[in-house]
Amino acid sequence: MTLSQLDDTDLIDLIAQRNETALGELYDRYHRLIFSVALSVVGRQEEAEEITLDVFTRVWEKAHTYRSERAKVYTWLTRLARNRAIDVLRQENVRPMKYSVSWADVWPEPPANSDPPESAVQMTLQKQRVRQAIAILPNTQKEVLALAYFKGYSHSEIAQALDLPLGTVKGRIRSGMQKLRDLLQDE
Amino acid sequence: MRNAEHEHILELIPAYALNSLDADEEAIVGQHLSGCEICRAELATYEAVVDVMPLAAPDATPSRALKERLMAQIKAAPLPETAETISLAPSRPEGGGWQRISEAMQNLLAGPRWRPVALLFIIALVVSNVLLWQQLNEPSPDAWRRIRLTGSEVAPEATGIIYISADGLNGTLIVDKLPQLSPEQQYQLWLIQDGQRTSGGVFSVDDDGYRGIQIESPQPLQDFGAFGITIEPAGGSPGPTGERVLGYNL
Repeated sequence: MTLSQLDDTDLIDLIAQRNETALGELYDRYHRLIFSVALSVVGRQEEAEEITLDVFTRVWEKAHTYRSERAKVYTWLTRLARNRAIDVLRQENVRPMKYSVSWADVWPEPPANSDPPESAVQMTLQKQRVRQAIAILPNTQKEVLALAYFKGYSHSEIAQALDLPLGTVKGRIRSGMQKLRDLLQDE
Repeated sequence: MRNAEHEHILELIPAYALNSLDADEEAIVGQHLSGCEICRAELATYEAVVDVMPLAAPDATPSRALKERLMAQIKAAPLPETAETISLAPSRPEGGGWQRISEAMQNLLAGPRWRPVALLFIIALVVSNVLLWQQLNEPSPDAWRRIRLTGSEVAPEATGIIYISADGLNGTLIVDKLPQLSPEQQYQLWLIQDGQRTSGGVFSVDDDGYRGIQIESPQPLQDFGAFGITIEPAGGSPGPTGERVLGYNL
């Protein structure tokens, strides 16, 4: 069996045993996703690459702490990426302002490999499913959810950035999240 | 718990999962969750939504060189727990390996027909291993110096490691288990030479107290005899003003 046939959890086990090739395989699977999240948060290629590097370096150092019962591997990675990227934004003392944060179009890019492994196909389908659900939301809800998720803004920071009453922001976030939950649970 | 209060908390849970509540409401929900199984179950359903949100980030691809940087970086810092200097060179042969080779050779020599061939093989093996041994004992140009920082009374569990490249032009600081700070505070690394302190970077840590940063230095890092990390106002200070949490002195 080759590394590309192993599931993500097995790869993490190998990385915890200091297997560099396994880290390379995990990087190949998820570097685009991690970079995409980081870039959506910080908006700059160089910083997004540094964050991507940080995430996989941390996986190398902390693979032994991963617990599969707590989160899927890609969830663990994207949480690390989002937290690190928002941390970078906050370090820069970025003030809330009018931001244009957008979600991706419904159709994701096809996997780069012409004969993708099953996990890549599943990831592509999952992306499509999530993007379809978000595409259904009104733009007003998409906007506040994107600011909360990609910029780490609180209710009051979003209200300030969009010049909206606080109650309006709270309502849009609650409604958007409820709608997303319903859409994703139904499938 | 009154029904009205419970309903109010339920309304806030979607935003709590998204980490977008303001601090006062976040504290209220957090306290409520610790004693309410229903709300914890509700939270789990929203956390599942948040976990798939990154899949809707617009697709982007980093430069091809990034993977090479990653692989070079982990080779430079494999984190052996005891060694103070780490190297990109392969590790030294273990005594157990020599013992196994010796036993194999003894078995080989036991057969008289193979004795001349075996002797030649052993001589070649010894010569090649002596050469390898000499090569491994030479200082590697790729060796990184590793400096372990120790926690002060303020942060006794905290650990830190500084990696300095052989030429002293590159350095990385990795800290772990540092205490959480208020939003108005950050940690600051100090590079110390003859009592003069130069800032090497300002940073925050994640929920585990972990962070890795590239050290900023106006001169080669081997010029500095000590390093310290203090708590400073957000954005850093011209000189250390707060409590020291990690340090190293030659």
